Amino acid sequence: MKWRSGRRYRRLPGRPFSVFSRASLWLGEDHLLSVQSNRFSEDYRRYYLRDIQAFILERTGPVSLWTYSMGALAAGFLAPGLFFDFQKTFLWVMGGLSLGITLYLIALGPTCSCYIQTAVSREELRSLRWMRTAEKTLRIIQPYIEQVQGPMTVEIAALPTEPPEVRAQVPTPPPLPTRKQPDSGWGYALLFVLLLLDALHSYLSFTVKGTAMNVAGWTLLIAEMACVVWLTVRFRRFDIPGSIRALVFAALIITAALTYTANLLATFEKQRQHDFTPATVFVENYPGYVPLHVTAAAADGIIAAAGLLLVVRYRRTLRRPPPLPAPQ
Amino acid sequence: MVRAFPALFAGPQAAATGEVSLAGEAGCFYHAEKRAVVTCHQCGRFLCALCRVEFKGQDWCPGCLESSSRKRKQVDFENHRVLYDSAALAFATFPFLLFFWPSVIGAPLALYVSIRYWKAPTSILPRTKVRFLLAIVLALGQLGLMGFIIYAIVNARRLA
Repeated sequence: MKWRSGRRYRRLPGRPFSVFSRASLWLGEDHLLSVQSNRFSEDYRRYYLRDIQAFILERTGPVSLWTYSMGALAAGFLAPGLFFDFQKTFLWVMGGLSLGITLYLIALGPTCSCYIQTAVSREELRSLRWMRTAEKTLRIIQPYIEQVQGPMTVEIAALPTEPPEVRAQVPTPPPLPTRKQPDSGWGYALLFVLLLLDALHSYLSFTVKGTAMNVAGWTLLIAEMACVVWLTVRFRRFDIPGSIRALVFAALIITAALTYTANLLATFEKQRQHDFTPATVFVENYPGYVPLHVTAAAADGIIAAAGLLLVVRYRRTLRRPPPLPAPQ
Repeated sequence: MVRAFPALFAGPQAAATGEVSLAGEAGCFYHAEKRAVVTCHQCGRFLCALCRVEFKGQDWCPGCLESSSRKRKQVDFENHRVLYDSAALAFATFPFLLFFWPSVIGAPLALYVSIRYWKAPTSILPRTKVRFLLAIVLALGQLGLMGFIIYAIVNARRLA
């Protein structure tokens, strides 16, 4: 074994692109250790080498979802950088950084889901998100498993290309366990209440002006974004109906798009007026201010109302007792 | 792509039940009527095939396994650990970076966590104390800065 003296574990390749959680895979003396971390605590899951039956790699896409997001962010920074006379350095630096990350993510290649199968479970290894990394990791692990279980026979190695009747001899893997707990729904209710307040703020901002309104608007926006980020982290661990999830994404996309458009229009207006101070957030007299705010208020209001309705219905179903088994 | 290993084709193993002990034979500590086959590596109790738990090449009894897991003697039983060093570092950095004033709470909290949990076990993976050290340095720096600001304000008022 290649462990450094005193070290119990050796790190295996694979580090998913994630901000709030972290997953990693480690090779111990007689087991694999899968570590899930939220930065402040770690959860461990051990898979003993003698129990591992198979690794299942499923290709999920040509690039990760982050690649599209970072690409859009790069375009969002670089495109205005071509037209604006000021804030150019900031836009180019941020655009360059986003473009760099996008290219790095493209270079990582196709993404995958990797499952580890034992006699009683089949679980996803979250640290293995890219095909290339997963294959590299499997190449490292394989000799250790073979050392414990014996070498793979020719029949096993050739299994995927064998005719169906040979494949039928393989024991059927156990179904994927559904480990997600139902979400309480309070986090989603909070987001939709914030959106409702934001809609109200947008309507009021036509008549009531001032620093307090501006500060309230930006505080609401930051709170909404923080709430959306928190909820997207919860998606992985807790179950919630797809309709509520879709509304969260809709809120994220609409809020981001409208904020970006508002900032873009305000910057154009400042450039037209030859006002080269960097703050664009308090500009209110740009063309398109009213239609943009009406759209924002309407969209926020509709999403918030629909979301609250769905959360209330969802919470009612949670309170309902499970159905009784059918009589024999 | 599926990469299968010989364990996939191994049939289900029959569960050990333990044989009934005959007159004059040693019995299991937990099941007196069953024949003892091994002794516990930890406490030395006689164990039948049913009670014998093989762990890391040694035979353990269920009682020692349970007590070892409860007292955290064996790292291999643990499935959760709190990373106090990361928490201390977060207390020392985030309040300061977001807005300065929450450091009034964050810095002392970072110091407390660093000192209180300095010897507490952190991750079972390789990890140094650098986060604790960094948290202490940052927290002391912030407290020093706060002290300086208070001193400057008091001094300015006195001069005015």
